Amino acid sequence: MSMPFDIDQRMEGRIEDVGSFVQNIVNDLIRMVIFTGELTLVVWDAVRHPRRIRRRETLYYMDMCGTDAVPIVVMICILMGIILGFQSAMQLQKYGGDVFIADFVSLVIVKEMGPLMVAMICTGRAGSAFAAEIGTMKVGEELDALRTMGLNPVRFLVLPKLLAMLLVMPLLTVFGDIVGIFGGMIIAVLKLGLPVVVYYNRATAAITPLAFLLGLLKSFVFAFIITVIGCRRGFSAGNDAQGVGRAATSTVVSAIFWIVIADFVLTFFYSMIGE
Amino acid sequence: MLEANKFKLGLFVIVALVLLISSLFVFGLSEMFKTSMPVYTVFKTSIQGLSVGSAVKYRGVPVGKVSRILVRGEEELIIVQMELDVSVFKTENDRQMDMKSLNRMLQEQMKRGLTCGLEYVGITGMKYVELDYVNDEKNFTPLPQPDGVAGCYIPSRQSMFQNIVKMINQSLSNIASINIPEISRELSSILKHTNNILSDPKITRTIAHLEQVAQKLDQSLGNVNKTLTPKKLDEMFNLLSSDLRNFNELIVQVKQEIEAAKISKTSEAFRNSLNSVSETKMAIINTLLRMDQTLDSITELVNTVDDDPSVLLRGKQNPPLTGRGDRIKTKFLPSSAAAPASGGAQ
Amino acid sequence: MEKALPIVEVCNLTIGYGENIVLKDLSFAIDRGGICTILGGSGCGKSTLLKHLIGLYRPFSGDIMIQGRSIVTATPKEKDLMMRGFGVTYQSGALFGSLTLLENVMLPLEEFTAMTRPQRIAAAREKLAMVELDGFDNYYPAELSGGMRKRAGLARALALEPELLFFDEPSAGLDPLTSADLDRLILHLKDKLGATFIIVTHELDSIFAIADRCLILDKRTKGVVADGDPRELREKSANPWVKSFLNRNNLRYCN
Repeated sequence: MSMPFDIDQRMEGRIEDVGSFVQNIVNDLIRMVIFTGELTLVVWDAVRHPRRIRRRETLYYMDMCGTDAVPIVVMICILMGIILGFQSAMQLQKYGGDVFIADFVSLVIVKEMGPLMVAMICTGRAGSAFAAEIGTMKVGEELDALRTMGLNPVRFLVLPKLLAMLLVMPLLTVFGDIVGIFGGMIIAVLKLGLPVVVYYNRATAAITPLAFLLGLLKSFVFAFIITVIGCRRGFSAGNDAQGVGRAATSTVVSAIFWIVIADFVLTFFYSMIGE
Repeated sequence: MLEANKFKLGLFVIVALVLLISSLFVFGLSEMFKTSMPVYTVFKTSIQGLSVGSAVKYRGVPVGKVSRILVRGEEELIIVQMELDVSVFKTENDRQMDMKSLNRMLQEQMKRGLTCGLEYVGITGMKYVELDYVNDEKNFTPLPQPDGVAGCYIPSRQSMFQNIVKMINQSLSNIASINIPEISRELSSILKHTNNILSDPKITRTIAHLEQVAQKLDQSLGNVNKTLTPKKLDEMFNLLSSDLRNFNELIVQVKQEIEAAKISKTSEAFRNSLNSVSETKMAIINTLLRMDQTLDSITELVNTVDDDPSVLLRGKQNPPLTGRGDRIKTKFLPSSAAAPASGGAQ
Repeated sequence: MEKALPIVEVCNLTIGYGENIVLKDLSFAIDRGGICTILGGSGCGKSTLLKHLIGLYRPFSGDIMIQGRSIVTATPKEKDLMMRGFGVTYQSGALFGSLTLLENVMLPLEEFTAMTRPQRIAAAREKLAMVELDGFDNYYPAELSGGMRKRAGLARALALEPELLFFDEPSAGLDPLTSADLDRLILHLKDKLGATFIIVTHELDSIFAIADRCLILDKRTKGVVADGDPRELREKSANPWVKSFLNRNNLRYCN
């Protein structure tokens, strides 16, 4: 008797869930756009008055998000290269296309995996740290203090992080790319017995400077996404310790989500211009 | 607390920038500083697999890239523009060639049959432009130079694969022109003749006679064995002489009868016809042999490719594997010569 | 003249969170000089009121004038400028954890004055000395006690030498002795700087020790229930709730 009613109600609940999920995403997106607008004003202001940029913080974040991330980036990317090398070697060997491992690994690393892996690492390291930092400041009323001191928290807190990330992530990606290609070479040499010179020649022939730079542009975009999401989640964190934790978690989740979306859009866009 | 480790950061930035710039150069930014020479060619057939950026090679050595592909619909022409990297070309004393001397060199080589052909890069179906010389200059007619394109014109030739297809077609048409019905008709008439001769009653009789003689000889020998005494020798000689006389008569008779059957004439005709059969057979064997060779070569190519498809991929550019690639090519050359030869035997 | 222009004036202010109205139709004026405390029971909205006064939140309706200018209708730029005109000390000090005490105090100077670095350092040291924190220049906030942090926060609020100082719960989380020290410091600064202090608190000891005037907010009426000298109110308030509020915790004031 009550079964259809239950199902109806459950269905309704599901539909509501989906609706509120979509609404959350849309709201989040709108707030993100507003925040980006705010940030744009601040960046414009910084461009006009470069002396007002807080240099010390910028350097600190460059050090924290860049230098300190090099070991993990190198490790992850070399493993990524090895994994890609392994997988492609197994497939390519079937068709005798052993040499193409160089093309495959280097192009995939430079165009996709390098920027993506670096972005994932930076999301975990920097994005969540930004959210937690700003969230903690919010709990400690430091944001209010900044505001009542007439200091724009976005300029004061976000700009150094943004500049640092924009400068540092493409550089990290350079490391990641080169090391990833090297990882592929390890497999090409050890598993397929390809001479190093052959791998080197094929890899350098496969990668065009434009493809390389477009990969770096991707990580530039990712840097923006990570910083914006991390900082925004920090600003909207709840006023308690759990709020800070949630802000860090949701930073990682939504940053990865938007990075993948952006990667898709960029890849699509790149394919339209023929890269 | 908020202080950056400036040394570490500086090291990071410097290393990253150095890596960035050097990798950009390694990945081909240096090409921007190379002088290149525009050349172009024209195809009337499909250039499927060739695209902008495809390599241009001079006998396997990369010398440039395809820079642009144009289609001229009304002339049914596909114009492929290429950029040759001038720095690859050297003079005899290992000095850099300039544009002018390179142009002169190309013009000279074109008189010797330098042409552009399309070759497969590997299994991918991608192609590159191979600068090489045509095999038989006499039969080669280049497409006329189209107007309105800048650069040095190098005519195109058919590719190796097109040549293989052409050769196979030629062999097949040679085989098709052998008159098999006539050969079979001749053969059947020869067989009929032979049959007739064998079924002649005189010959049958002669054979029967010969059999009788042999029997008698057998008997005689038996008698000789039994009665090898001096007494009986006279008798035996008498018998023998009469036997021999009989035999003589028989031979004369046989001769006469063979004469009557005109066996010499028949055998001559037989011999003639056999000759012609064997000639035809030789011709067929020749043709089939050539065919076989061609097929062998193709089979070998297929086997080699099957065993190790990278032979196709590596093409000519990989030195250790070049031998294999070349062998495939050279294997084909005698068979291409064999194809017209089989036609000649016909 | 002075009377004509109160340093803070609130007209028909209605504030709240989301859809909850916390305080309704509030109007009062605070004159220059002296220490004014805003007090009330927990959840009556005194901290919320403070955050509205300093321009962090936007009220539902009504206006807040700081030194004759509206902080509600001000453009962001004007607001920034107005905010530099007063100092705020937060409950926990709200010092920037990534900066040392000296840097914390120097921060407003760096951002808003044309001082050279030595001048800034000298000015910041002076402010730290004022709150009896000299010698702690290179300490990070995390290395200090709660009372020291509040004092450092005060020093930072004083950095631009404002005429108006807001103080959010100065004695919250402090032991009575430290709290009394802080009260003494506030009184000392009032005398020395001649600035106006607006202090949100519910520490009766502090109120009777330092306040010239107190505004008592009530959760039920969502408005001001009493306004005047705390000592007078304690004795003479017509409102029994106010009387009991001011007397409740401290039986020693009752005879």
